[in-house]
Amino acid sequence: MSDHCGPAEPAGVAVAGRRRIALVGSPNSGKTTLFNALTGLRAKTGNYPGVTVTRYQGVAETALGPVVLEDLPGTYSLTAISPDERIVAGVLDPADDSQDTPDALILTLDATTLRRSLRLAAQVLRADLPVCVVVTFTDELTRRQGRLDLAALGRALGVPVLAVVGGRRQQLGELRELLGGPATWSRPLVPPPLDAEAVSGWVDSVLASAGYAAPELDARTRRLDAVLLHPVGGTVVFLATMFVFFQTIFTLAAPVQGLIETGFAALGDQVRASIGVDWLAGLLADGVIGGVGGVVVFLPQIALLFVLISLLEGVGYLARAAFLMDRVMARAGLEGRAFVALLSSFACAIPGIMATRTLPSTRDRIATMMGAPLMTCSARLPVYVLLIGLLVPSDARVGPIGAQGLVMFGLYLGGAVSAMLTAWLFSRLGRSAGPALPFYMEMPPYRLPSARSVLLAVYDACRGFLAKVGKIILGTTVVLWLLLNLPAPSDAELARAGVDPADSSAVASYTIDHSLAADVGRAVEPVFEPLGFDWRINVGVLASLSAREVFVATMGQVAAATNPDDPSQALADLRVQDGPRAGEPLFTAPVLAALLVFFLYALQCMSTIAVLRRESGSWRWPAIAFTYLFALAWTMALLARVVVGAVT
Amino acid sequence: MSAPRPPVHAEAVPGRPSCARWVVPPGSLRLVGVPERVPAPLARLLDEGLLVHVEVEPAAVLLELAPAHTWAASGDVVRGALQDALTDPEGWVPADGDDPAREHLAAAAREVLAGEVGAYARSHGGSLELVAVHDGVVDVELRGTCDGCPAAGRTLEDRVLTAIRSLDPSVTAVRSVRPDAPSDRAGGRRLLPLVFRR
Ligand SMILES: Nc1nc2c(ncn2[C@@H]2O[C@H](COP(=O)(O)OP(=O)(O)OP(=O)(O)O)[C@@H](O)[C@H]2O)c(=O)[nH]1
Ligand SMILES: [Mg+2]
Repeated sequence: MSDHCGPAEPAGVAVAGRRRIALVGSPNSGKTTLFNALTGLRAKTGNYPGVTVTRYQGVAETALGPVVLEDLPGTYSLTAISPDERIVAGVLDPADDSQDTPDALILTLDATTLRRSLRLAAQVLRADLPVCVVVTFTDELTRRQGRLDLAALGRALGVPVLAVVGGRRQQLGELRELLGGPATWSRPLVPPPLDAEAVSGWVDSVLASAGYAAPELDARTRRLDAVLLHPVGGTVVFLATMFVFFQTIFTLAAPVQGLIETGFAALGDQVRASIGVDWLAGLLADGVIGGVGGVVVFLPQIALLFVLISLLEGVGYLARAAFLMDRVMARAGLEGRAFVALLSSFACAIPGIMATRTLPSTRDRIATMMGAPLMTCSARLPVYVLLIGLLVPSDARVGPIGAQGLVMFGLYLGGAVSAMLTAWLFSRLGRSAGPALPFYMEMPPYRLPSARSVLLAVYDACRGFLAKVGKIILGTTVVLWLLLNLPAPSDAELARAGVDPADSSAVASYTIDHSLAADVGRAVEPVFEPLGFDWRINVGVLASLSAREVFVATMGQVAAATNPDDPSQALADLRVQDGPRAGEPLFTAPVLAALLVFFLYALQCMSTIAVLRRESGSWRWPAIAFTYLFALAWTMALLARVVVGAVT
Repeated sequence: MSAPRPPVHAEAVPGRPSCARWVVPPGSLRLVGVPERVPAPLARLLDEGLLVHVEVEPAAVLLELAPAHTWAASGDVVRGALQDALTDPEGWVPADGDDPAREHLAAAAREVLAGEVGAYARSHGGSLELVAVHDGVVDVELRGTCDGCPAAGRTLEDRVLTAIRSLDPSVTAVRSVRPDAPSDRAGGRRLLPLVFRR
């Protein structure tokens, strides 16, 4: 799977023979931050519980050579209920043969929530493994007037204890030293108790010994939450943020996009001028540069989107959104955490589907998985920007507000509402599957994400986007180019059709019109005819089943072949070739609306289907999702065409 | 057992692997040293031969396990017995009947002066020595640079008081006395001064 937002499976490091040390700790206690600092990797972090839902491995250098470090999902307890927590319990259970038990554990304890974290510590310290405690968030503890004596905590727990704040390099030396030899770590003399009441006593006693003073409530967090957790205030702020964001997608990103476009156009001209072989020039200029370039121009928008997403995740807003939505979701029979999974799908449905692992109930998990593909993922962004550009002139305004951004906002909102309705519907259908479990989600204090972490997230997203363009999209584009240009017409055939073989643009149109792709596109015309799609759109829609951006690439190729000098104008000028509408412009407002709505609903992403299969355990749910989403997409697109046709 | 079990945890004792130092809530026991008698739950473990030694420290109980046993296996049983025994402070009978409460406070004071607070004074070129304990009041002598530094006196007293209170809540005051000051120890007993350099 080469999707840029593809699932991150345990990295394939050579594990054999090396010592393995696993990171365990409560959710949001800084495990992944520490993992990244020790291994130099860049696994995803974020200021909300449940960021990591799968196992990651990396190699960390220690005083005595490299060890394999394993990052695990956060858990409050080893008596697990949700699938991500079960991973941890399984890894720590020596009786579980399906997973290798690590040789030692690093236990992260968040100093600001030490009382709760120690309950997990009691369970972990009973496991028969060497444990080393890393206390995190001591910076925040001090800022909020809390106190903790690390040496006394170490004596009380009976294991090595040290503090590392946010994976800071200067503080890692001692830890690397320790990681070299877990066999020498001190082990608790008397393991902590097991039953809940006795554990509370143990925790009290340890905290008193360590001179622990819990931190005061974060004043900043309290003030912000007074607004953001207010049912009305919070919703208004959230919608306003989104609204402003979609304006910037068009105003801020457009000029940069224009620059990239000009660059690719110049490159295409250069290629056409300098390559003598006609078909090769065509493949490179129209296929590769016209198709792939057509997608790459949306890089600025992707970058902006990920700035927003990484900010939302980094400051701790996601947990609030879950809380705000919990009441709404509860009415739908779902819990707030499902909304976190849905919000994660703004980047891509795949992390969203993976995030459903934090949901304890299978019914909720399936219902949320069915909704996740409807959230507007970043792959839809290029399609939307292209189509909205054709539908709404860039200077159109509704009052002081740019109309393009408004339409985009509407599409995102439509996707989100549809996703929630779908999740609701599926959770209704599965009602009998089990009782709803109580919703519990910790709300972390607001934290300012470091510029570095935001930049890295954006950089990774952009790199992933380009990698996807370079692999899937380049591949499908080349195949499409072949399909669009084969069979090559003979001169005799051209003569018969009355096309002058010297007029290259006329030949190109004729070739495309009689290509294999055209045959396919025409073959499915009965299905899409009611939506106003012609065979060219059909080819784009079919090709976009591999990845949505391919639609943009296809349109780019068609445009580059018809009018190499001004591809963006070429799309607007496309005309319907046959049928009752022959001669009319192809991209009329009703057709564009139908296309937008179709892309809002249809499940055109092989990676998502593959992940649905893996996470749900069978082909049944991906098949259901594909079918119902296609039916929904078709119906809603028809509706959009009729409605827009009626008002314009 | 209806009374809530007091919170405890065990710490290792350097050099004595069969011993566990069970930290108990301060003030739960009013004696130090090896008790004459302990409450039934603990006495039973002594009789059964699981435990071989019980010794009370300020806010802690030192328990030694018989050689054949391990803390990993017996920890839960001993913990339960100790917690039950702690709910019955009267059942802990001190060995000699002198004044167990005062000895507890004196031991707490000694532990504090030998610990972090004493180290703090020494790092400033002075030293703190225990002079007397009476009626919940601890008299401490300031020596070296501490002596004659009135600013240090107050804060140091506060620190000592807080630290002692965390081991023995019955302490009411810490007073610093000058080496030359007239003796004000009515009812108090002169204690052997402790010298802190090791
Ligand atoms: N102030 C401060 N922030 C920290 C520290 N350690 C981590 N963070 C931040 O806390 C947030 C959570 O960190 P993660 O590393 O994602 O936590 P995690 O334990 O992997 O969380 P899950 O994967 O959800 O279980 C991130 O925003 C980090 O930047 C620390 O010591 N101090
Ligand atoms: Mg993590």
